[in-house]
Amino acid sequence: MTRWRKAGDAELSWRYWDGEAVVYNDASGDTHHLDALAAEVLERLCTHAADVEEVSQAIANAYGLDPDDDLNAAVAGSVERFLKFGLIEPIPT
Amino acid sequence: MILRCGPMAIDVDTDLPEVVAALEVYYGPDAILSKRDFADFFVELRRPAGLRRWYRPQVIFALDGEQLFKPLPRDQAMQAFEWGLNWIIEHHCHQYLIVHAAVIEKGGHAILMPGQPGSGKSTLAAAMTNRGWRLLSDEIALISMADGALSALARPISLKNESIPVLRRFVPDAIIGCEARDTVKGTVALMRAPLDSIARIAQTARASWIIFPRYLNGLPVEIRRRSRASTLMSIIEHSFNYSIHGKAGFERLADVIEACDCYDFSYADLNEAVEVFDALKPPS
Repeated sequence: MTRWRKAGDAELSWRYWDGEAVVYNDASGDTHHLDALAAEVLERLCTHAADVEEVSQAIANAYGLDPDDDLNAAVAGSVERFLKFGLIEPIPT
Repeated sequence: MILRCGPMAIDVDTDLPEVVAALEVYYGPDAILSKRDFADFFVELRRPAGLRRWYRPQVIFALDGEQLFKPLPRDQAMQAFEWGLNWIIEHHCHQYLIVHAAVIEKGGHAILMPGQPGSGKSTLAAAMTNRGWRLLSDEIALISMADGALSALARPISLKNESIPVLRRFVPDAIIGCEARDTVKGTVALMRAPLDSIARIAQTARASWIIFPRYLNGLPVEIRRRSRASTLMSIIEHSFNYSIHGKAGFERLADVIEACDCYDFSYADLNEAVEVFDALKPPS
Protein backbone atom coordinates (compact mmCIF):
# COMPACT_ATOMS: atom_id res chain seq x y z
CA MET A 1 0.00 0.00 0.00
CA THR A 2 1.30 3.46 -0.87
CA ARG A 3 2.79 5.44 1.97
CA TRP A 4 2.36 9.20 1.93
CA ARG A 5 4.32 12.12 3.34
CA LYS A 6 4.32 15.91 3.14
CA ALA A 7 5.47 17.02 -0.30
CA GLY A 8 9.12 18.02 -0.19
CA ASP A 9 8.59 21.58 -1.35
CA ALA A 10 5.35 22.23 0.55
CA GLU A 11 5.81 24.96 3.18
CA LEU A 12 2.61 25.05 5.19
CA SER A 13 1.14 27.67 7.49
CA TRP A 14 -1.92 26.71 9.53
CA ARG A 15 -4.83 28.41 11.23
CA TYR A 16 -7.49 26.53 13.18
CA TRP A 17 -10.92 27.80 14.08
CA ASP A 18 -13.86 25.85 15.49
CA GLY A 19 -13.03 22.49 13.97
CA GLU A 20 -11.91 23.86 10.61
CA ALA A 21 -8.47 24.67 9.31
CA VAL A 22 -7.07 26.94 6.64
CA VAL A 23 -3.66 26.01 5.27
CA TYR A 24 -1.41 28.19 3.15
CA ASN A 25 1.23 26.52 1.00
CA ASP A 26 4.06 28.97 0.33
CA ALA A 27 5.45 26.73 -2.43
CA SER A 28 2.30 27.03 -4.56
CA GLY A 29 0.67 30.18 -3.19
CA ASP A 30 -2.53 28.19 -2.71
CA THR A 31 -4.79 28.44 0.32
CA HIS A 32 -6.87 25.44 1.35
CA HIS A 33 -9.96 25.15 3.56
CA LEU A 34 -10.09 21.83 5.45
CA ASP A 35 -12.76 20.30 7.61
CA ALA A 36 -11.80 18.68 10.90
CA LEU A 37 -11.07 15.23 9.48
CA ALA A 38 -9.07 16.49 6.51
CA ALA A 39 -7.02 18.68 8.83
CA GLU A 40 -6.33 15.70 11.04
CA VAL A 41 -5.20 13.59 8.07
CA LEU A 42 -2.87 16.27 6.69
CA GLU A 43 -1.40 17.03 10.09
CA ARG A 44 -0.57 13.39 10.63
CA LEU A 45 1.02 13.00 7.21
CA CYS A 46 3.07 16.15 7.79
CA THR A 47 4.38 14.61 10.99
CA HIS A 48 4.88 10.96 9.99
CA ALA A 49 4.68 9.12 6.68
CA ALA A 50 1.81 6.63 6.62
CA ASP A 51 -0.61 4.81 4.37
CA VAL A 52 -4.37 5.32 4.36
CA GLU A 53 -5.07 2.41 6.71
CA GLU A 54 -2.48 3.57 9.22
CA VAL A 55 -3.92 7.09 9.24
CA SER A 56 -7.47 5.75 9.65
CA GLN A 57 -6.42 3.51 12.51
CA ALA A 58 -4.52 6.30 14.24
CA ILE A 59 -7.50 8.66 14.00
CA ALA A 60 -9.87 5.93 15.16
CA ASN A 61 -7.66 5.25 18.17
CA ALA A 62 -7.27 8.89 19.05
CA TYR A 63 -10.97 9.68 18.94
CA GLY A 64 -12.63 6.41 19.95
CA LEU A 65 -14.01 5.68 16.48
CA ASP A 66 -14.49 2.44 14.59
CA PRO A 67 -11.97 2.26 11.74
CA ASP A 68 -14.78 1.36 9.34
CA ASP A 69 -15.17 1.69 5.60
CA ASP A 70 -16.64 5.20 5.86
CA LEU A 71 -13.63 6.46 7.78
CA ASN A 72 -11.22 4.75 5.40
CA ALA A 73 -13.02 6.24 2.40
CA ALA A 74 -12.97 9.71 3.94
CA VAL A 75 -9.26 9.43 4.67
CA ALA A 76 -8.59 8.12 1.17
CA GLY A 77 -10.57 10.99 -0.32
CA SER A 78 -8.53 13.51 1.63
CA VAL A 79 -5.29 11.87 0.53
CA GLU A 80 -6.41 12.03 -3.10
CA ARG A 81 -7.17 15.75 -2.79
CA PHE A 82 -3.91 16.51 -0.99
CA LEU A 83 -1.96 14.76 -3.73
CA LYS A 84 -3.81 16.76 -6.38
CA PHE A 85 -3.01 20.02 -4.55
CA GLY A 86 0.67 19.19 -4.17
CA LEU A 87 0.51 18.95 -0.40
CA ILE A 88 1.66 15.36 -0.12
CA GLU A 89 3.68 12.91 -2.19
CA PRO A 90 4.06 9.16 -2.31
CA ILE A 91 7.16 7.66 -0.83
CA PRO A 92 9.06 5.88 -3.57
CA THR A 93 9.25 2.15 -3.05
CA MET B 1 -3.72 70.61 -7.64
CA ILE B 2 -2.59 67.98 -5.18
CA LEU B 3 -5.48 65.96 -3.74
CA ARG B 4 -4.98 64.27 -0.38
CA CYS B 5 -6.88 61.00 -0.52
CA GLY B 6 -6.42 59.09 2.70
CA PRO B 7 -2.79 57.99 2.89
CA MET B 8 -2.05 59.12 -0.69
CA ALA B 9 -1.39 62.41 -2.40
CA ILE B 10 -2.48 62.65 -6.02
CA ASP B 11 -1.31 65.31 -8.43
CA VAL B 12 -4.43 66.03 -10.49
CA ASP B 13 -3.97 67.90 -13.74
CA THR B 14 -7.29 68.81 -15.34
CA ASP B 15 -8.74 71.39 -17.69
CA LEU B 16 -12.25 70.70 -16.48
CA PRO B 17 -13.51 73.36 -14.07
CA GLU B 18 -16.43 71.20 -12.99
CA VAL B 19 -13.98 68.54 -11.80
CA VAL B 20 -11.95 71.06 -9.80
CA ALA B 21 -15.13 72.25 -8.11
CA ALA B 22 -16.43 68.72 -7.54
CA LEU B 23 -13.19 67.49 -5.94
CA GLU B 24 -13.36 70.27 -3.39
CA VAL B 25 -16.98 69.42 -2.60
CA TYR B 26 -16.49 65.65 -2.35
CA TYR B 27 -13.11 65.57 -0.62
CA GLY B 28 -13.31 68.79 1.37
CA PRO B 29 -11.20 71.95 1.06
CA ASP B 30 -8.56 70.57 3.45
CA ALA B 31 -7.82 67.81 0.95
CA ILE B 32 -6.69 70.29 -1.69
CA LEU B 33 -2.96 70.88 -1.18
CA SER B 34 -0.34 73.09 -2.74
CA LYS B 35 1.32 71.95 -5.97
CA ARG B 36 4.62 72.13 -4.13
CA ASP B 37 3.66 69.20 -1.93
CA PHE B 38 4.90 65.68 -2.67
CA ALA B 39 2.63 63.49 -4.78
CA ASP B 40 2.45 59.70 -4.98
CA PHE B 41 0.64 59.58 -8.30
CA PHE B 42 0.34 61.90 -11.30
CA VAL B 43 -3.08 61.86 -12.88
CA GLU B 44 -4.58 63.75 -15.79
CA LEU B 45 -8.25 64.20 -16.48
CA ARG B 46 -8.51 66.11 -19.70
CA ARG B 47 -10.41 66.62 -22.87
CA PRO B 48 -9.04 64.82 -25.92
CA ALA B 49 -7.65 66.70 -28.88
CA GLY B 50 -9.75 66.92 -32.01
CA LEU B 51 -13.45 66.65 -32.66
CA ARG B 52 -14.34 64.84 -29.45
CA ARG B 53 -13.11 67.79 -27.50
CA TRP B 54 -16.16 69.68 -28.70
CA TYR B 55 -18.66 67.33 -30.34
CA ARG B 56 -20.20 64.88 -27.89
CA PRO B 57 -17.29 65.81 -25.66
CA GLN B 58 -15.26 63.18 -23.87
CA VAL B 59 -12.73 62.98 -21.05
CA ILE B 60 -9.56 60.92 -20.81
CA PHE B 61 -8.04 59.59 -17.58
CA ALA B 62 -4.28 59.12 -17.62
CA LEU B 63 -1.73 57.99 -15.07
CA ASP B 64 1.87 59.13 -15.56
CA GLY B 65 0.94 60.25 -19.05
CA GLU B 66 -0.53 56.90 -20.05
CA GLN B 67 -4.21 56.63 -20.86
CA LEU B 68 -5.70 53.87 -18.72
CA PHE B 69 -9.16 53.46 -20.20
CA LYS B 70 -11.17 54.37 -23.22
CA PRO B 71 -12.55 57.92 -23.17
CA LEU B 72 -15.83 58.55 -21.38
CA PRO B 73 -18.51 61.21 -21.98
CA ARG B 74 -17.59 64.47 -20.34
CA ASP B 75 -20.63 64.32 -18.06
CA GLN B 76 -19.07 61.18 -16.51
CA ALA B 77 -15.82 63.02 -15.69
CA MET B 78 -16.09 62.50 -11.93
CA GLN B 79 -16.96 58.84 -12.42
CA ALA B 80 -13.91 58.53 -14.67
CA PHE B 81 -11.79 60.05 -11.93
CA GLU B 82 -13.17 57.76 -9.22
CA TRP B 83 -12.86 54.62 -11.33
CA GLY B 84 -9.34 55.63 -12.32
CA LEU B 85 -8.47 56.17 -8.68
CA ASN B 86 -9.84 52.71 -7.87
CA TRP B 87 -7.54 51.26 -10.52
CA ILE B 88 -4.53 53.09 -9.10
CA ILE B 89 -5.19 51.87 -5.58
CA GLU B 90 -5.84 48.29 -6.66
CA HIS B 91 -2.63 48.12 -8.69
CA HIS B 92 -0.18 50.25 -6.78
CA CYS B 93 -0.90 50.31 -3.05
CA HIS B 94 0.68 47.03 -2.08
CA GLN B 95 1.77 48.21 1.33
CA TYR B 96 -1.83 47.18 2.04
CA LEU B 97 -3.86 44.05 1.62
CA ILE B 98 -6.58 45.44 -0.65
CA VAL B 99 -10.06 43.97 -0.42
CA HIS B 100 -13.21 44.79 -2.36
CA ALA B 101 -15.13 45.82 0.73
CA ALA B 102 -16.81 48.72 2.48
CA VAL B 103 -15.51 49.74 5.89
CA ILE B 104 -17.40 51.64 8.57
CA GLU B 105 -16.51 52.29 12.20
CA LYS B 106 -18.11 53.31 15.47
CA GLY B 107 -16.66 53.51 18.98
CA GLY B 108 -13.30 52.21 17.81
CA HIS B 109 -14.77 49.05 16.24
CA ALA B 110 -14.88 48.65 12.48
CA ILE B 111 -17.04 46.50 10.23
CA LEU B 112 -15.42 45.12 7.10
CA MET B 113 -18.12 44.39 4.48
CA PRO B 114 -16.77 42.42 1.53
CA GLY B 115 -18.99 42.06 -1.49
CA GLN B 116 -19.17 42.08 -5.25
CA PRO B 117 -20.86 44.93 -7.12
CA GLY B 118 -24.57 44.78 -6.50
CA SER B 119 -24.30 43.25 -3.04
CA GLY B 120 -25.54 46.46 -1.44
CA LYS B 121 -22.38 47.26 0.49
CA SER B 122 -22.07 50.84 -0.76
CA THR B 123 -25.75 51.52 -0.10
CA LEU B 124 -25.38 50.09 3.38
CA ALA B 125 -22.22 52.12 4.02
CA ALA B 126 -23.97 55.29 2.83
CA ALA B 127 -26.90 54.64 5.16
CA MET B 128 -24.88 53.65 8.22
CA THR B 129 -22.51 56.59 7.94
CA ASN B 130 -25.48 58.91 8.09
CA ARG B 131 -26.71 57.22 11.26
CA GLY B 132 -23.69 57.58 13.51
CA TRP B 133 -21.06 55.37 11.87
CA ARG B 134 -17.87 56.74 10.33
CA LEU B 135 -17.03 55.99 6.71
CA LEU B 136 -13.57 54.67 5.99
CA SER B 137 -14.44 53.41 2.52
CA ASP B 138 -17.47 52.37 0.49
CA GLU B 139 -15.62 50.07 -1.88
CA ILE B 140 -11.93 49.43 -1.15
CA ALA B 141 -10.61 48.26 2.21
CA LEU B 142 -6.95 48.99 2.92
CA ILE B 143 -5.51 46.59 5.51
CA SER B 144 -2.03 47.59 6.60
CA MET B 145 0.45 44.77 6.03
CA ALA B 146 2.51 46.19 8.88
CA ASP B 147 -0.11 45.97 11.63
CA GLY B 148 -3.53 45.06 10.24
CA ALA B 149 -5.03 48.51 10.82
CA LEU B 150 -7.66 49.77 8.39
CA SER B 151 -6.85 53.08 6.69
CA ALA B 152 -9.55 55.55 5.74
CA LEU B 153 -10.17 56.98 2.32
CA ALA B 154 -13.53 58.70 3.00
CA ARG B 155 -14.04 59.10 -0.72
CA PRO B 156 -17.42 59.94 -2.25
CA ILE B 157 -19.76 56.97 -2.11
CA SER B 158 -20.66 55.51 -5.46
CA LEU B 159 -24.42 54.93 -5.73
CA LYS B 160 -26.04 53.02 -8.55
CA ASN B 161 -29.50 52.78 -10.06
CA GLU B 162 -32.24 52.15 -7.46
CA SER B 163 -29.99 53.01 -4.54
CA ILE B 164 -29.89 56.67 -5.62
CA PRO B 165 -33.54 57.52 -4.85
CA VAL B 166 -33.42 55.24 -1.81
CA LEU B 167 -30.55 57.24 -0.32
CA ARG B 168 -32.13 60.56 -1.28
CA ARG B 169 -35.13 59.57 0.85
CA PHE B 170 -33.04 58.08 3.68
CA VAL B 171 -30.71 61.09 3.92
CA PRO B 172 -32.70 64.08 2.59
CA ASP B 173 -29.88 66.57 3.17
CA ALA B 174 -27.11 64.44 1.65
CA ILE B 175 -24.89 65.98 -0.99
CA ILE B 176 -25.52 63.79 -4.03
CA GLY B 177 -24.15 64.92 -7.37
CA CYS B 178 -25.72 64.81 -10.78
CA GLU B 179 -26.74 61.41 -12.05
CA ALA B 180 -24.72 60.07 -14.95
CA ARG B 181 -26.85 57.80 -17.09
CA ASP B 182 -25.93 55.04 -19.50
CA THR B 183 -22.62 54.27 -17.86
CA VAL B 184 -21.23 50.74 -17.82
CA LYS B 185 -22.78 50.42 -14.36
CA GLY B 186 -26.12 51.95 -15.31
CA THR B 187 -27.13 55.24 -13.70
CA VAL B 188 -24.58 56.36 -11.14
CA ALA B 189 -24.17 59.29 -8.77
CA LEU B 190 -21.65 60.26 -6.13
CA MET B 191 -22.66 61.00 -2.55
CA ARG B 192 -20.29 63.04 -0.41
CA ALA B 193 -19.13 61.26 2.72
CA PRO B 194 -20.29 62.81 5.98
CA LEU B 195 -18.06 65.72 7.01
CA ASP B 196 -17.06 63.95 10.23
CA SER B 197 -15.76 61.00 8.21
CA ILE B 198 -13.73 63.34 6.03
CA ALA B 199 -12.38 65.20 9.05
CA ARG B 200 -11.20 61.95 10.69
CA ILE B 201 -9.54 60.55 7.59
CA ALA B 202 -6.19 60.19 9.32
CA GLN B 203 -7.64 57.89 12.00
CA THR B 204 -7.15 54.21 11.36
CA ALA B 205 -9.42 51.56 12.82
CA ARG B 206 -9.41 47.89 13.84
CA ALA B 207 -11.91 45.41 12.47
CA SER B 208 -14.19 43.79 15.02
CA TRP B 209 -16.73 42.35 12.61
CA ILE B 210 -16.65 40.99 9.08
CA ILE B 211 -20.12 41.05 7.55
CA PHE B 212 -21.05 39.90 4.06
CA PRO B 213 -24.07 41.95 3.00
CA ARG B 214 -26.71 41.01 0.53
CA TYR B 215 -29.67 43.10 -0.49
CA LEU B 216 -32.76 40.85 -0.75
CA ASN B 217 -35.83 42.84 -1.70
CA GLY B 218 -38.95 42.08 0.31
CA LEU B 219 -37.36 39.67 2.78
CA PRO B 220 -36.92 40.27 6.51
CA VAL B 221 -33.55 41.30 7.83
CA GLU B 222 -31.34 38.39 8.87
CA ILE B 223 -27.89 38.03 10.32
CA ARG B 224 -26.22 34.64 10.71
CA ARG B 225 -22.82 33.64 12.05
CA ARG B 226 -20.33 32.19 9.63
CA SER B 227 -17.08 30.43 10.32
CA ARG B 228 -13.78 32.25 10.40
CA ALA B 229 -12.30 29.67 8.05
CA SER B 230 -14.95 30.24 5.37
CA THR B 231 -14.62 33.99 5.93
CA LEU B 232 -10.89 33.84 5.24
CA MET B 233 -11.49 31.93 2.01
CA SER B 234 -14.17 34.41 0.91
CA ILE B 235 -12.03 37.45 1.65
CA ILE B 236 -9.24 35.96 -0.44
CA GLU B 237 -11.71 35.84 -3.33
CA HIS B 238 -12.53 39.51 -2.74
CA SER B 239 -8.89 40.57 -2.50
CA PHE B 240 -7.06 42.33 -5.31
CA ASN B 241 -3.54 41.51 -4.19
CA TYR B 242 -3.55 38.60 -1.73
CA SER B 243 -1.42 36.54 -4.09
CA ILE B 244 1.32 39.18 -4.12
CA HIS B 245 1.89 39.02 -0.39
CA GLY B 246 2.39 35.29 -0.02
CA LYS B 247 2.68 33.88 3.47
CA ALA B 248 2.77 37.35 5.04
CA GLY B 249 -0.60 38.12 3.46
CA PHE B 250 -2.08 34.88 4.76
CA GLU B 251 -0.82 35.54 8.29
CA ARG B 252 -1.94 39.17 8.27
CA LEU B 253 -5.43 38.35 6.99
CA ALA B 254 -5.77 35.46 9.44
CA ASP B 255 -4.79 37.79 12.30
CA VAL B 256 -7.48 40.29 11.26
CA ILE B 257 -10.11 37.55 11.11
CA GLU B 258 -8.99 36.10 14.43
CA ALA B 259 -10.07 39.33 16.09
CA CYS B 260 -13.49 39.44 14.41
CA ASP B 261 -16.93 37.92 14.65
CA CYS B 262 -18.10 36.98 11.17
CA TYR B 263 -21.60 37.06 9.69
CA ASP B 264 -23.72 36.79 6.60
CA PHE B 265 -26.28 39.60 6.49
CA SER B 266 -29.31 40.11 4.28
CA TYR B 267 -31.58 43.12 4.33
CA ALA B 268 -34.27 44.94 2.43
CA ASP B 269 -34.94 47.89 4.72
CA LEU B 270 -32.17 50.30 5.72
CA ASN B 271 -33.77 51.20 9.07
CA GLU B 272 -33.82 47.52 10.04
CA ALA B 273 -30.21 47.21 8.92
CA VAL B 274 -29.20 50.16 11.12
CA GLU B 275 -30.89 48.53 14.14
CA VAL B 276 -29.01 45.28 13.61
CA PHE B 277 -25.65 46.97 13.21
CA ASP B 278 -26.18 49.25 16.20
CA ALA B 279 -26.93 46.19 18.34
CA LEU B 280 -23.67 44.41 17.49
CA LYS B 281 -21.48 43.62 20.50
CA PRO B 282 -17.70 43.65 20.09
CA PRO B 283 -16.08 40.22 20.19
CA SER B 284 -15.13 39.07 23.64
